[in-house]
Amino acid sequence: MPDPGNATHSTDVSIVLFRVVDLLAAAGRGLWARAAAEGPLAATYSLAQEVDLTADLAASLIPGDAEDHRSLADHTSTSGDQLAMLAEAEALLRSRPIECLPAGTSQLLVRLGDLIRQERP
Amino acid sequence: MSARDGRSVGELLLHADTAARDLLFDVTGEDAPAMLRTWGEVVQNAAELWQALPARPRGGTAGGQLMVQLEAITQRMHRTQLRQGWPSAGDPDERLLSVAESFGAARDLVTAHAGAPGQARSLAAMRDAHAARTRTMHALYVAAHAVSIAVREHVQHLREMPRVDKQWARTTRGIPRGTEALERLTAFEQLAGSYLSDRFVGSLRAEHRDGYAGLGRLCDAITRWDLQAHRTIAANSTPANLATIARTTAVINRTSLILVRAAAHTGTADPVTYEQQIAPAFEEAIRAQSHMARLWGSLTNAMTRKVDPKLWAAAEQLQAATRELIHDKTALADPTLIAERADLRDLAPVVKVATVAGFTLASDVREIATHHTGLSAPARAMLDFARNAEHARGPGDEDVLGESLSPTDLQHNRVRPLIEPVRAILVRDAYEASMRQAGASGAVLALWTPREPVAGGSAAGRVRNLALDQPVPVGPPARPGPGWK
Repeated sequence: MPDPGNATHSTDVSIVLFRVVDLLAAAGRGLWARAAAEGPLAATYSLAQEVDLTADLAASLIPGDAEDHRSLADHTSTSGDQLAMLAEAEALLRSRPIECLPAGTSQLLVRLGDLIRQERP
Repeated sequence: MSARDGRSVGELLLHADTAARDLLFDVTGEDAPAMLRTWGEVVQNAAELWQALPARPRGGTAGGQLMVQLEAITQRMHRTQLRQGWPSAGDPDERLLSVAESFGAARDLVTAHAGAPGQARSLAAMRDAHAARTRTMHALYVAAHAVSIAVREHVQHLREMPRVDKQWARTTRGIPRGTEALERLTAFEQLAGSYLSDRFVGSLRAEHRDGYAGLGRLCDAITRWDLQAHRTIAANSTPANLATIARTTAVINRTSLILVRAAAHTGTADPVTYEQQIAPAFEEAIRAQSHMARLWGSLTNAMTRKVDPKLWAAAEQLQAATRELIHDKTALADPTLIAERADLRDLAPVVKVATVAGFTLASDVREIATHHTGLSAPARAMLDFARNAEHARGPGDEDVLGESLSPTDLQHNRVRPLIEPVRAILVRDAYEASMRQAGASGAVLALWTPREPVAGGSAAGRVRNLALDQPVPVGPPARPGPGWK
């Protein structure tokens, strides 16, 4: 099994987490915009808040000394489809063994699973 | 390598993990009986694998003790199921069975190679054992969550069945038995989660204690939120925390709006005042706070989005209390369903607590935006913020915003004190948001101002005042006096 203490692994994990936070933050922004357009009687406000809480949780997993190695272009490459963004974040986390990801990632994955199931048609 | 199919322990556990994660996306209430029949085998095989893995030299028994507790919870669940005959005999859940089989195959493999359980003899062996335990506990945690979802939906479905269908004894029995199983699964999930993180994190469907629900739970959640938000503001006013505060204030405003709407629809509040005053005032307050959340949020990036964990937990508890009251699965609940869940005659003090909290927080945030010199944000985020907010430049107009930040700060995206153009926008819009919160508070007072009874006893005429000089309660709402309805 891979060694989670390896420096290359740490950088790789940070890159994954940065991307996951960006995806969730973008999904949250999109959902808040959709909620504003639909009005308070639509259910989207709740979903938007839950996605943002999940993005906060993901951001809390990024180590304090992590460096953002991504280029500027990476920050904005999102599809605009919130469900696709959630699925992409889940797939990114799935691509790394759980023992290499920070403590708390299991809870993040469960929240993502809940959100995706909730949003799927 | 597995004697059965050639897979290694790592691969078998990866399969268990993947299968458990897939369950999260597909599970439904119909799966609950089969999943409960299979759950015991999953946990038993995982516990046996855990036992077979090499132990850490010198101590490290906490994880072993935790697995013993998890096994004990599951055995009690299983014995109760046998005694009660629920769920009845039937097919297992094939997806959970494959998780159990992976654990079993990994156990056989470890036992065949290592013989009797002992201590890890090398750093690599110790690391592998730790990784295997993490994967095992993670798969158990995720699978337990999936089984909980199925059981919760199953119980919910039984509760919502028409009364005539509930005459079947099997249906009626399923509600308390499913609820009991759910309580044990929730305990299991929390215990397994504690191995995987030192920070307690609930699921989106965080369960509440029996008998503690509805407006009482919501009012407590708002009070705790308000207290924590003020503490966080006092200790650590960052754009990330202020974004969470604005967002959650918008959620509280929306919840209040929907509850008052339900009260108006079901005859416990004045529908005319709701339409003419409450709805417009709250919609404006929601828009203003959502806008503030967007502004503060745009001053964060993945690295600086560190929300105070206590603030986060208070926001999550509030979200769970809100969802329980005003949602029906993924849609907004019908007003009559909301009125069934909560006695809306008790709504007045809750909405007052909510609007007062929203107004005081909005006022504090305005003060911070105006005077707090410690506010800072990533340089590029500030530049984008100011450029997006300013009016389009005409030909020949100079872009002076870039001069507020040094090229090096921009290049490295360093966190710098707020630049003046950004602060000016925040101050202006925070003032607007606090005015909108004041508007929502005023509208609430209008709703519960005495009105002359209307002849014929219309909904409007039935509404009376809940004395406005009553102190705002800080706990679950007291039952209002006569005359509220």
